[in-house]
Amino acid sequence: MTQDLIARALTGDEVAARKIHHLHYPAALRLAYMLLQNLQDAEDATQDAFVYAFEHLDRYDPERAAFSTWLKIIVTSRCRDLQRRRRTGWLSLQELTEAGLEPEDKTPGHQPAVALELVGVQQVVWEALKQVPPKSRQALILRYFGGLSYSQMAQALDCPVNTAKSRVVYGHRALARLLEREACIELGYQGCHTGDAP
Amino acid sequence: MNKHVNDGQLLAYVEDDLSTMRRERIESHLRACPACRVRLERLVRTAADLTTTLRDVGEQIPLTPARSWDAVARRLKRERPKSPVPPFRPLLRHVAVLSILILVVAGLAGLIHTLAVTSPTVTRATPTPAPTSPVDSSPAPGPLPRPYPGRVAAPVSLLILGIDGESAASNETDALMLLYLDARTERAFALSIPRDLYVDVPGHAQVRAGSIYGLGQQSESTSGLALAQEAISATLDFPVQHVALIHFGSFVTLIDAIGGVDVAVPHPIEDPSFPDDDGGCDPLRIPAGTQHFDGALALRYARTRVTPAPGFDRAFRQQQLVLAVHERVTRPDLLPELIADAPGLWSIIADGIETDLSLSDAIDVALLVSSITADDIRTASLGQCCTVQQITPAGRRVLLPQPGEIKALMNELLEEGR
Repeated sequence: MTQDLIARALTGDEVAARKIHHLHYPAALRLAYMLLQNLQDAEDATQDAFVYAFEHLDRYDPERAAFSTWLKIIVTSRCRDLQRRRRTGWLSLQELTEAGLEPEDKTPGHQPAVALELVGVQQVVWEALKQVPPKSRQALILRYFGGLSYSQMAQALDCPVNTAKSRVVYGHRALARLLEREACIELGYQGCHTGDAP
Repeated sequence: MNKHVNDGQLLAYVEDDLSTMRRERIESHLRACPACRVRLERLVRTAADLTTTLRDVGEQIPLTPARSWDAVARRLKRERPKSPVPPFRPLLRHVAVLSILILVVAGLAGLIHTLAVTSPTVTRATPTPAPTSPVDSSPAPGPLPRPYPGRVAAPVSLLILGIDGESAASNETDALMLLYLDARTERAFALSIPRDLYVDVPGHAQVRAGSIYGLGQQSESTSGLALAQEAISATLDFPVQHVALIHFGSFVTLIDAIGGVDVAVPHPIEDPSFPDDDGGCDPLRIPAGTQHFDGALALRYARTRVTPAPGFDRAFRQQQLVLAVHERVTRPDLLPELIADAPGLWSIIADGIETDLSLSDAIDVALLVSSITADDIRTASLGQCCTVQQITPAGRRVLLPQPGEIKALMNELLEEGR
């Protein structure tokens, strides 16, 4: 169905373009929110992504990926642009090899974050995820929420495929450590060891 | 199989992304190893928890599709180009920028790495500079004729900080170099700044030059790059316009990304005690003749401390590698291949460099670098001529800068550059 709409949008049909937008806006905004953790920024990045997508609609190749996937890659890229602009406009370097050691994103927490109602495991997982280093966190979100393949992730994150894979691995490792610590605190178990897995 | 399954293999196992042989090997290990089974269960559980958590979070995000569409539609009307842009133009531009940036990164990373290990004052085309009496010359020349239409006319000074994989965690820069490029004369100098140079840092006590970047990164009010720029400008009494941090590791990754390099090895290399990652030895043997190196071997070639023949030392070998990369990325027959790899190369560059240069500044510098031949780059080091050794109370050997000598050297370099 999107394919018909795309064909129409390419001829300048605004109604078709709006339909495409409405169809894909929820997934795009949700992904942007997870990546940026700020609703206003997420809305801005989503708008940027749609503007880009419509302006480059002729480049979308249905043979290669679903439109929703193509859009997710664009959304991720816009989110990264936005973060880069927020970080004094400098190209980021650092976390080449030590994705696990990378410092916390220094961007001040731009309001507003959505007041979420989460309980139990989900509350714990979401809080822990926020503490995972940014690049690994992004990778986990693209993998487990975006459902992107590693090569699509590599495209979205502008990194080699193996880097995308290792960011997911690092992300899992960081998350496991955080969750284990959380479990220890909850149990009040003093001698709890939160060391590495074998 | 006694070896534990590593995290990457475990994830690949869960995601069914393994060859049958590997899969079977892992399965047999898992049967025998309760610890790895626990890790496997934990991985599967975390992945499942993550999926449901993210889905639930997603569903709670408030949506405003109509308002969002209005904004998008407004921008589309405003931003839509009047005539369609030929689709190949952006790609060509991208490729041009990319190849230029590869040159810059390769050139700069290699240059600084070379200088980092050559302690004495080095010159290529000109005799060794000796401190002379100060010559009156202003380091900030006025407007100059434009050799490249629309390109840089004024001289550019760029402070380059090199950081190695091992020291990246501590943000300790292994090498510092001031690069000065003058388009008018097509001459340049590269001044190596010892990392032990003891400099005054605004807002701090004296620190080693190699530690300035890390200090700035810890500070709330400034950044590593900005602080290094400020402190080195003051120490040299010379305006530093731009600053860039380059990860040596990216140079090696780059070599892999361009498919390796060909290097003419003049003498066989035998280094039985080349260190491996675990504190042991991993003997290095490279026969003489033209060799094809991948990134890892290139790094070993550059790092081995053996000197099989006079002049065939680390600095020489590192220079060879830089030239080999330069040759490789400028070979017309390989360009299509490089273009196909553009996204990967791009990310290596972006990940390996941090700079205050805008893209257009970087292109300007790239054009300058590529227009100046190695013979025209005067190289010098602050180490011997302009510093005095001292031991700090903490027992650390540092080099105290001597402002008079530094001034004389800077003047001499600027004179030479004209």
